[in-house]
Amino acid sequence: MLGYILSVFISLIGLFLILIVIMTIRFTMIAALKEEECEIGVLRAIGADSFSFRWLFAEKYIAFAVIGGALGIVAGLPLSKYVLSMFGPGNIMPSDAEIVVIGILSVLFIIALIIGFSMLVMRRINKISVVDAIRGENRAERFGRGGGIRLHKRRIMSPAFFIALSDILGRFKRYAFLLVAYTLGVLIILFVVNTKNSVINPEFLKYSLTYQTDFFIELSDEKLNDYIKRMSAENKNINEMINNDIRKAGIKAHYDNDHYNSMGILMQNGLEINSTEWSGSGDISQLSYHEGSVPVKENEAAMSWSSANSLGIQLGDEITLKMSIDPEKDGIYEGSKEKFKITAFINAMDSGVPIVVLSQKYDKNPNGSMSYWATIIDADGSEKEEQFRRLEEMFGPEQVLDSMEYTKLCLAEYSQIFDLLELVMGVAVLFILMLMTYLYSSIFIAEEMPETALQKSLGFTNGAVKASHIFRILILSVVSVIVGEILLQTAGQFIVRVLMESLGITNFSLMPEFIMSFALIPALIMGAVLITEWFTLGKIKKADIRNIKDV
Amino acid sequence: MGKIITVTDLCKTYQQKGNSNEVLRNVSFEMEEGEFVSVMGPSGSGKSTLLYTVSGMDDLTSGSVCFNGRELSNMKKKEISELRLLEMGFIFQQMYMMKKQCVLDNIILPGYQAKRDRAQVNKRADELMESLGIKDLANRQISEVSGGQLQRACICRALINEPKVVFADEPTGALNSKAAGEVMKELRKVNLSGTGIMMVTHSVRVAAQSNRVIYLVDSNIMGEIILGRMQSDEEIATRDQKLNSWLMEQGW
Ligand SMILES: Nc1ncnc2c1ncn2[C@@H]1O[C@H](COP(=O)(O)OP(=O)(O)OP(=O)(O)O)[C@@H](O)[C@H]1O
Ligand SMILES: [Mg+2]
Repeated sequence: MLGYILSVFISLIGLFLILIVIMTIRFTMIAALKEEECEIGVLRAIGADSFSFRWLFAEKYIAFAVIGGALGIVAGLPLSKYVLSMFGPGNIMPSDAEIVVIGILSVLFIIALIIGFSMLVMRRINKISVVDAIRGENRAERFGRGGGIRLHKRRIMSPAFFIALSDILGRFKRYAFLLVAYTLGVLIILFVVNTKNSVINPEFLKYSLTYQTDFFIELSDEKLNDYIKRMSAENKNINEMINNDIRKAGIKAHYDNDHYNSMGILMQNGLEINSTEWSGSGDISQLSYHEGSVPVKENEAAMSWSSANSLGIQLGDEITLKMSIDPEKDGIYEGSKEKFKITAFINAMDSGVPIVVLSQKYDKNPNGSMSYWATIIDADGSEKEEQFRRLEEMFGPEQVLDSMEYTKLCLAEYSQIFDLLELVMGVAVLFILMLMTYLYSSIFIAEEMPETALQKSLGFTNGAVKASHIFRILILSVVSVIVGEILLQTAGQFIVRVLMESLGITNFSLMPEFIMSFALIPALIMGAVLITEWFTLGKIKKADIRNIKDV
Repeated sequence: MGKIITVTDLCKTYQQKGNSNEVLRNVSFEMEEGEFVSVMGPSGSGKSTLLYTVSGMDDLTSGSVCFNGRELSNMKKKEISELRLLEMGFIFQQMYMMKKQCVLDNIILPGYQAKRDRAQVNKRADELMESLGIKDLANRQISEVSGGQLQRACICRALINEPKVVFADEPTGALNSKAAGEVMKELRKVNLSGTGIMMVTHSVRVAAQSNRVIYLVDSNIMGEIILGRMQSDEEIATRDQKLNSWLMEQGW
């Protein structure tokens, strides 16, 4: 499962990166083309054919890609090895040769992309007449309608905000890519963080049949030895003894104990499927049910949905279990067969080994392997904390874990991977978004020098000009955050549901941690983007009144 | 009347890759409040540069520019911007406008930026457009109006904050003679209402309509001629002649 989740996430970020690369190449090429339109126009006027400038144009970019790609492979080799090694020695590392081959393939891919884009971008040239190109008057989008908002009808909107907003609305196409990149960035970070929060969560333990964990006692060696000594004398298992001790101490807490056994499901065709059977005094109605009603009668049982599904077992079917329990107890011998009616399917991660949960009435195998359904403190609020504190007094503060600590312990492997994913993806995505902001913003500033000069001639301060740039990025990033949040709740939930369904969990949904999802992450992303923008805007100062000529 | 602009020993040198290009050398002149001054001179003589440095859009290399009693070289960039917003107006040869906004929005932009009462600004914009005869164009896009109309819109924009001085760099340079005549008529009206105008022009006919003409050659003021305030359209021909012959003497 780990490998599975990991590969899904890494593919996602890979896709994101490829998209960003494509978008950025396209955008910079169009921007460069606009700058060179005039020269290209002159060239055409002289009579060069359009195919030759496409190459002229593409050559530069191909050179960049080759140099960048070579550097990327040289620098990327140790870096990717380092990142991969963080995922633990358990993962099979690709060899150096593989990384180099992958690197070269990706550089070739990018070169192919650049050539393709050059051809596409340059097709625009054919649409422009020579005269227009020379006069630079084909920039039709410059005459957009400002998105239909009118400053003179606004009572409070500041001119800087108005300029930003009308620019975005009037030239939406120019910002669409940036918007998509921001949105995807927001979505990826939100997705990773929320998936982590929803998986490393006490609720998630339900899918391994632990429906509540108010506390968890890790017995100290000393205490454990005591209990082991008492075990034969009292003829009870440790959880039962702990339950008794807690009760005697007057603490309102207990284990809901259960037992589990290996057994076999006898199929009609004679095959025997290994499975585990769970029973005991717990409140099994609290497990996560996919379908059906909680088994109550002695001969009723619930089964893990994904295995039942793959074995073709349906609700109401009768299955034959080959019990393999303690032969000395209750006269049921290893290999004895019992029939159960399946009344429900539960959501559980069974890793392909079916889980069968028997009703509370079934008590023929008290001595299976010992475990528990849940640990429960029978109190609420501050009293619950008080009881927890008393457990700590009794067993030692280090020895008693709370719900979240226990969850992390149970899911230690996932927890580590998710922490790492969060870090690597968070850093990577933020870095990319900042880089894109810098790149796009630099191009915007260069393209808008004339407008900037005009505003300055009208008496706008540098600050006022910068404000409209900041507002523009702010609007784009706010919209992206909103769209990202919406996508998380729709597409994100969908992806995670499909993912979890393949693991046997049908009712999983992301549970966004409010402050994290709606405040911290948006603030982090917007902060990173705005700070980058702020530094990029230093160039505004250079706008000279003579730049006004190209308005 | 007081002096609105006092320029003393103004020098402006452009530094460019080791080369230095002295565009203005020890230029001194004064402008009265409400005066209409034209600057003439050959191409490249530094007329635009003079306008840009006097209005604080470009730094000066040495000397002093005093606008309405305030020394520009002692002011912060931000204060100069504010001064430009509130007390100066600009008109260019090319009718530079925010291309995505309609005519009216362009006109009111400096008013809103100055944080004036918006209803008042809208009212003033209405009055200005009315008097310049472009009221019907308020909601048109920039690309949908003619050059002459656009230049009149630029005049409205320059006047929206009731500036002390309007700087005009070849305001009629891109217009045919009929449109140029109309724009000049408007500028004279503006001047009559008390706003000072400092205008760069290549046209004798245009310059002849101002109070005084300064002739700039090779980084310096060669001389000036006072024509006095023009009272009626009939005077144009005689003023034209007078200026022309003076310019001839200067080597025009
Ligand atoms: N940024 C600059 N760097 C260097 N030299 C400049 C710069 N801007 C202008 N110049 C030079 O300064 C001189 C004066 O320019 P200016 O634009 O003031 O001339 P002008 O009198 O307005 O000419 P025109 O009548 O053609 O508009 C010119 O020689 C020009 O080449
Ligand atoms: Mg000039």
